[in-house]
Amino acid sequence: MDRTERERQAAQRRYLGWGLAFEPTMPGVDLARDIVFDDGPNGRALALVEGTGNVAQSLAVALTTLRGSNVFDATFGFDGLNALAEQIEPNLIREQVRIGIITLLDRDPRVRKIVDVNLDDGRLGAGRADDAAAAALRSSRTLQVQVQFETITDDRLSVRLGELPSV
Amino acid sequence: MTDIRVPVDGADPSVERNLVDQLEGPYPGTVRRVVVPLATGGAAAVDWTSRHPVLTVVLRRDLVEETVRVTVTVDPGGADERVLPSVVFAPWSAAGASVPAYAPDSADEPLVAPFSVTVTAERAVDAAAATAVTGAALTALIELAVVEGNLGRLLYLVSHEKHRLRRAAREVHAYRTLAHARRDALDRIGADVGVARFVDELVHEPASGDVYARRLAPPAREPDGAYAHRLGLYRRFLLPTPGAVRRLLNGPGADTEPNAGLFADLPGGARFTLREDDDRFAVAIRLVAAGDPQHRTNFLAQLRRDRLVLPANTPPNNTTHAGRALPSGRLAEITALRASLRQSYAFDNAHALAPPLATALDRAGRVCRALGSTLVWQVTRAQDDAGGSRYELGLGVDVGWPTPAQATDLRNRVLDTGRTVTADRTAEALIAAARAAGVPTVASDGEVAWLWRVCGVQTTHRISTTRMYLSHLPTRGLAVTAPTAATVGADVAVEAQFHAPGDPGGNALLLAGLAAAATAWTGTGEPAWSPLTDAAARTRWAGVPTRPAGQPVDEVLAAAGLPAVRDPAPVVAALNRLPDELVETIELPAALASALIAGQPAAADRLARLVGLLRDRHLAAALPLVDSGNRVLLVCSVIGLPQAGVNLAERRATGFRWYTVGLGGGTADVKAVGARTTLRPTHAGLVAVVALSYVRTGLTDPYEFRVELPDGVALTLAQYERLMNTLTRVCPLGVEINTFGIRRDHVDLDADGDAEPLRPAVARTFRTFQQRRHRGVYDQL
Repeated sequence: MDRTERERQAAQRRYLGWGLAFEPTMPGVDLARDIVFDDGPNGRALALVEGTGNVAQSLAVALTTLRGSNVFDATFGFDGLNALAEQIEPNLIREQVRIGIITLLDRDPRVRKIVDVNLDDGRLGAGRADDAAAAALRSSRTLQVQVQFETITDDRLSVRLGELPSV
Repeated sequence: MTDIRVPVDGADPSVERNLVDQLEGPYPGTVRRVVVPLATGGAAAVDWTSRHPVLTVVLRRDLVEETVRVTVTVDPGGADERVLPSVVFAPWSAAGASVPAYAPDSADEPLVAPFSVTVTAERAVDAAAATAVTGAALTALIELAVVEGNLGRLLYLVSHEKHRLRRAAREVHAYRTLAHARRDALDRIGADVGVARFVDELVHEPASGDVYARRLAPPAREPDGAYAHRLGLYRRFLLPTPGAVRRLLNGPGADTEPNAGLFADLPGGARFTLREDDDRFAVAIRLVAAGDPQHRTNFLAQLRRDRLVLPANTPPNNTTHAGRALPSGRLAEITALRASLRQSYAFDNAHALAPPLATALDRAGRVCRALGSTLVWQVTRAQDDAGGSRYELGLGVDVGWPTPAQATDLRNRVLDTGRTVTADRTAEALIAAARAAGVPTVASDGEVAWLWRVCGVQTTHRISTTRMYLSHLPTRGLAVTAPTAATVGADVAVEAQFHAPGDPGGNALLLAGLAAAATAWTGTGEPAWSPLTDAAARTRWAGVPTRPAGQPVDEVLAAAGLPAVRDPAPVVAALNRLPDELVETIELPAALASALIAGQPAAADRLARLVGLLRDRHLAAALPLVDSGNRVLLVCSVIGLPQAGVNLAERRATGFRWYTVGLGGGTADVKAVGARTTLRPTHAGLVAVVALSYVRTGLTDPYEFRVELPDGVALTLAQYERLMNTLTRVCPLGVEINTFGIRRDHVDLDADGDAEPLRPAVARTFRTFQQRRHRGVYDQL
């Protein structure tokens, strides 16, 4: 690892922070996340996550937390989950989800710039043909969300939300 | 108090349950808390594949002063059976507290296969042997729970100390209560209320009869339980009402239930009785003109003209009433009252009554009429200027007795619940009240006092075999004798006498008591004693010889609680100064007197029984005089006697107190006490001489209540001490608590199970629990 890479990692750790690793206990089945232990030189210790991984984990936890459910921080979480459950127009749902994601990202001081928020539910869009994949997506009533943003360390991250929130 | 809950977490004190409830987002899915059903036999099964599980034992109720030990066996009866280290819940653990019992190793493999356990539990209080908790008691005491996930384990670990904090908080809270405080905590409570822990004990010295406090050998001190029991007196808000005192002494429950209060340790669960039925005072008033007798004559004339009710329908009476300056409505009421009185009473033209007496008599007449009786009471005497204290103010009338047939008819009518109710609501209410109070038989109540009493006539006194005296004032036969006029500055003798029924006679209480005692005495097969007339008694007193000391009779008399008179001269001189009516003398049967003089112990017992009979009949004093010729006189009285004092009762049975009320400028001085007193007018005018008298018939005095125990119940010295301190605590200002009966009949000094009379010198020998606190002595308590 050259010096530039080490400085970049140090900057990521310094500015993007670190935290306990919360890993999905049943990926693809449940949202649940649990702490994990690693074997270290001094015995077993809590596993950690840092840098962009920490940002990604933070966003994943925030996107799977209903906004207002944390009684100690009522503004934490993703408000789009409420929109998905409401009986409103699909176009409005899409826009509420988009706003929820942007609000969530704006709240995180480590996100410097949101590059793109793309929502795809299989409907025709600009410059896109109605192929079989789009039809399948449309019929599954799944909303795919892809978000691109830049961190304060100049890293560009792309988050893709599928049927279950994941990054 | 057995359950002390410190609601730190609100209604549900389970720590881990609350932690799980507070998780949000993706975390609740990994921290699961599952209650494992526990069979009454102690078997339980974790029948699912759990992830990073920890099995906890959870308390389902608060513990008090008990330790609970739970042992879990994994895979019971299987190849991998293991008995795990016991889980211990210390005293004061709160409901919801949990202790980890089993945490399978899941470092390499997070999923743990289903497993089963069995649970046994036992509980112990203080140093007592542990007892097993089984069946429904087991499931009511504990439950099992599985907390899953690494995060769950971590949260459980970091919050586990909270259970200990909650337990400590409950323990501190409990130690502030009297029921659970121990050692120094109890001493601090005692310091708060000024009651120190005893470092001594009460001891009775049989040889001297004394009771004293003996210091305990250090480091022995009063045990916590006994100290807390004493402190209980002072650790509550206490208003000394009769109900509160009864509840304090006896605890809740009916009179037939065992004592559950401060004295639940009495033999047989005996309960205390509080008596506060007062003896009523009797009053008599005599008018004495100071200086010119015309003052009295004028006053009585004015009384008849302006105040008294003249029932007879004659022109002079009608003119007198019509001439009174009263509203027309009031005059009409009086006219109606007079007319009503005439329906039930036969008056002479000159008869006059005090208005309250007229009203009370009218009530009785209306009751008779409502009952359908045609009885007309013949009034033979009413207001009489020369009638003495009973009649001169119109405060009483004489009427004839009803015949037995008339009394029986009245009684039958009032007891007839099927009679037709009349429109006279006052009379009907009085009839109901009489029925509720009880209607005695004609044989025991020939005067039909039940009728007069319920109508407000408080005195029904037989003055002859054909007449009775009725008054709305409580007089009970009391009469004051004094001249109608006295010279200013000169002393005149005034005398009050409590006439027995059928007066004139001796003191009512004394004669009645002696008669009842004589009946009881002969009823046990003893020969009758001989009563002496007043003159004969004084003659016999004068002949009583002087005796040398050391005669056997002295010991016999002392054994019966009576004084021995060896030099009769001063005693007889003092006896001669007493009023005749307050003293009666009897001569004991010859055989008994001979046995007494011979010093036979059996004779002492018989004499003690006789003294007991006199005491039970409320006589105040008895003085034996050993006469010549093997004869023994017993002087009995309702007041204190020379050398004997008040040796039968706690105080004299009767007494008199005198007052004067000046009228028309007259004033006079009077000696306040005594049956015979001296009046000295100081200013001319009219003086009303008032005699207030009491007769103690076993009831309490005003502003006094009495504490009693059933016969045969003996208090230990410690219980007696506790009782006296309790009564001190509940004694309202200005009220006397009479414990004479307790001190005489219910204290067991020598711990033989039988009570001994507590000598006056010893009666106050108890330690006062609550000490007055002074600045700087707090730490010494």
